[in-house]
Amino acid sequence: MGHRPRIVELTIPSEYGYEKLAMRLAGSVAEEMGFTPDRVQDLQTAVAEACLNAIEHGNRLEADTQVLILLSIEPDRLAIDVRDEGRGGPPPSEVPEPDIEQQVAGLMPTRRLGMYLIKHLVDEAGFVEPEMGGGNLFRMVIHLQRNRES
Amino acid sequence: MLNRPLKVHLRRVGDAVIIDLVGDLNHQGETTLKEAYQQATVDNTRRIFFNFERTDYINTSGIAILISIVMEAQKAGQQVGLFGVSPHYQKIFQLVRLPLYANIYTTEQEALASVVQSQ
Repeated sequence: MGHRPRIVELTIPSEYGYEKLAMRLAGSVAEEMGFTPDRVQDLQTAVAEACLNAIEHGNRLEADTQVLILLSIEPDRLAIDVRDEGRGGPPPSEVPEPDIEQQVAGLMPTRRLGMYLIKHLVDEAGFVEPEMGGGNLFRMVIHLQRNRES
Repeated sequence: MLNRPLKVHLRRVGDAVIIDLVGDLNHQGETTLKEAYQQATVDNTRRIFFNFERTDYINTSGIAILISIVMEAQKAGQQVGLFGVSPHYQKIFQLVRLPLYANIYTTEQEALASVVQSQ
């Protein structure tokens, strides 16, 4: 019989700074689950960046929008969903890998680093189709197994 | 409410200028940090170090500001270094390959020693 995930929810306004609440919550949960301190910090940065993407691009910083953060806690994994209201349209299908040499040469914008970092900091990351309702749903997963192996 | 606005303090040490950062390095720190860099280079200083000992939150907007400063420094033939960066943010800086253009030192002493060595 499978374990039913424990769910923790947080809703934040689309304002800079509130991503810190989400990163603190995710960090506390991951710490309680037994993730190592470096993986907790990686997760916190990933969660902050995902929330910033939702605030800036998904909700376009519009005051009447919110970002929902949903943590699904299972014995061996932690999944974090970040959902915006889709005011900025659908997410980009492809995110170019940043190249600092191009950036320093002025040939590539210096922004858009968030998605690249997230993919390097968690075990799984990507947009998924919401089961119901609109908006964009970005899911990140970290596994305790990798913790033990590292 | 949750942001710790960035404050900076400039110190001249020999031929270098150290910019001490206190607070969050995010988009809100752009003007503060760029003005500090301009001030640091006003008398043709070639070596600028950023002290991150009292900065515990850096996001990608902040990293983008650092990259844009590195771009300017590169054009002007200046040396940019960072010190006091936590192991986590060192890892983040490595991921975006910032050390290609800005050396990361463990301490202020190590950063300043690099100036002496390169003279």
